[in-house]
Amino acid sequence: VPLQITRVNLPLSVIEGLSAGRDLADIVPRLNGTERSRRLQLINHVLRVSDRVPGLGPIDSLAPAQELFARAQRADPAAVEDVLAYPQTGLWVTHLVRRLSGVLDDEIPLWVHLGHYNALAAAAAITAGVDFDIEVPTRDGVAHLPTVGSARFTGIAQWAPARVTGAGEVLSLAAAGEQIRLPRPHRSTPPRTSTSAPTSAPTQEVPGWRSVTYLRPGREGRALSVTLDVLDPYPACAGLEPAPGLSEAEVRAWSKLLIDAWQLLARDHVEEAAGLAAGLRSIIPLPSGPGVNGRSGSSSDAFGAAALSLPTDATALAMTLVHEFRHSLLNGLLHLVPLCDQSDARPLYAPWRDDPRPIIGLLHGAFAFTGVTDFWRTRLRKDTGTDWELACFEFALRRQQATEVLDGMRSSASLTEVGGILVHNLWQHSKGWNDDPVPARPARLAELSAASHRAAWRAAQVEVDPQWARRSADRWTHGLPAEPLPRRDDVVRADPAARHLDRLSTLSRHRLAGRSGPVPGFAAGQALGSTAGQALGSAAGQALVDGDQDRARRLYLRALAAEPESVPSWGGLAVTMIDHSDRIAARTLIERPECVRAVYREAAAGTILAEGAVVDLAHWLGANG
Amino acid sequence: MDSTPDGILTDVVDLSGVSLPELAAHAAAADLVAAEDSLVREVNSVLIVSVGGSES
Repeated sequence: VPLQITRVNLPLSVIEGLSAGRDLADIVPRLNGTERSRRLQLINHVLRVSDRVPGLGPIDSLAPAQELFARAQRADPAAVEDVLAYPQTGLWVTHLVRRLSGVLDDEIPLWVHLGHYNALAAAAAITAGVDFDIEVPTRDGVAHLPTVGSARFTGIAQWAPARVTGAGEVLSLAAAGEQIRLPRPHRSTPPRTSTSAPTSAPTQEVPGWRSVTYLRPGREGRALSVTLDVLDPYPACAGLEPAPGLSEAEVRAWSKLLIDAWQLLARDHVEEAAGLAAGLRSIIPLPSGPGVNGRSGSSSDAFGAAALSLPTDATALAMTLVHEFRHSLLNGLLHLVPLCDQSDARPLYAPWRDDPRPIIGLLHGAFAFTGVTDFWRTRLRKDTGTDWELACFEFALRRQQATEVLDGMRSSASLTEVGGILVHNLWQHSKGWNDDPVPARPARLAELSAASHRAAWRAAQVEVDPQWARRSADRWTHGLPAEPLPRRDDVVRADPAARHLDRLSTLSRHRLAGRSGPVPGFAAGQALGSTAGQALGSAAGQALVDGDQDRARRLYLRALAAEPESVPSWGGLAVTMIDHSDRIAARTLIERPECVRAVYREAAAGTILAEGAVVDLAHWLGANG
Repeated sequence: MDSTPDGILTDVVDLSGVSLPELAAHAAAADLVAAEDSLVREVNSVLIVSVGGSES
């Protein structure tokens, strides 16, 4: 009987719900269904194309895996569905499709990628309780069974096959004369009432074997079930290299934080929790970086996965899960319908990033940070004391950033009709944020942080006609009137050296949390404070968040005299001018810092100008230009 | 894309209710192959989209 092929209907109510962060308990299963259809089709493509690839290697046919999937399907359809829905399966199949199509290459033999299909079938069979015997690939001695665990063999070639056998209650893996036997792991979905203790035992203690860890915080009806997966090899292919391993102490730390984060989400962020419960399947722990803000990321090929380093507290974990899951939601929508011209690579200002972003990146950021702003709006209403002040700051900062981007995107010609509807709905949703007043101190710090980032970003990455800059420096030196400022058409060139432009917001969080002294990670690990100019810039930032703008300005001017290339200092100096009596200099430094910097660079070449020269120059450019 | 009473009929094939083995049995069906080719083109046009989160 031929299959009846139908197409997916996308009700506009889905776009409305996604924009407002509601109805996620209904929307996420829809998106799960789309992702499933997508993966099935891509697997189908692999099956068809792989038949035509000659001389693959030790695993040269996917027929045994097909047969095993069919048996697992008959025994326990849910076991097959679990494997299909696993985000890392999406990473595998898209990587393989691209590899087979020749649009990417890697050092891994093709048979290893194809043989991963056998490993997926084995994983389904293990859970379905089916007896089986199949070969799977090993990489650097490791045979990985997705969602289940990994066996490590010694004395084996870099790429080699291993035999996996499931017989009754015993699972065994064998390669190069070595055998690892363990009790067959059972279905990874214990009663929803279970607590959140890691559930990778008892197989974890088998020598050579490591189980994928499952964490299940929450109670019936409000439960989350996710893996904490550092074993799957495919996130690394998408640039999400997981931590090399997790010690028991690290697993306990993740578990404890996730219990607390989930409690917060289930209690206060009901819609977000419903969405996460329906769609988040895997957390990919990333190594912690040197900074203070943590790292996180997503891939459009891994719906339902969030990659992140261990956050500092439960609120940060809850917020990061909401943030990354918003990326998954938008990816799910993008898999249904185009939202913008993805070939439009023009670099744009994204307030939450140091680097310029194309329209698709900006849309992702706007969508994610709309959810993040909603998160902090709820915290602002629920938290007290220091947590409340921090929530006020985060809400005000994210509100300002998201609103700025949404305002600008509404007129973008790169959006499709549906993309335009989405952005319009997000923009309308953002109007509701104005109802929440924010106290003066966090509001002020948020304003300074956003403005400082924008000014530093412009100073570093908005191009200025070098001939205009040279002429202007010459005219300034000779006491002549300035030429008009160049038209503001914002030709952007990414500067990889423009880093840590958000340091004022980091300092603000530090102060609002009631901490004194240097910010962790600022003094040593981030090249901050390691030169005289950076030390002065850091001191200036601290004066600024402490409310002493005059002192901050003097310190930033000294910092720039010592190190004119320091873009964070240009951003900081600009915002010290917000209340300055010289409105012309203030406007020029805040709105066109790139022009001031370019002329200053030319004028100061080979010399050290007086500390106040920057403000004088900004006034001259603004007054006569 | 076409309009429907409540939204949009997307170009995405709906395989809900179709199992992996069932689909494999129809792998060469012409309309499936056409949809699949379109999807593969889309996947190949976006090499890697990793979106940074709170790093910056």
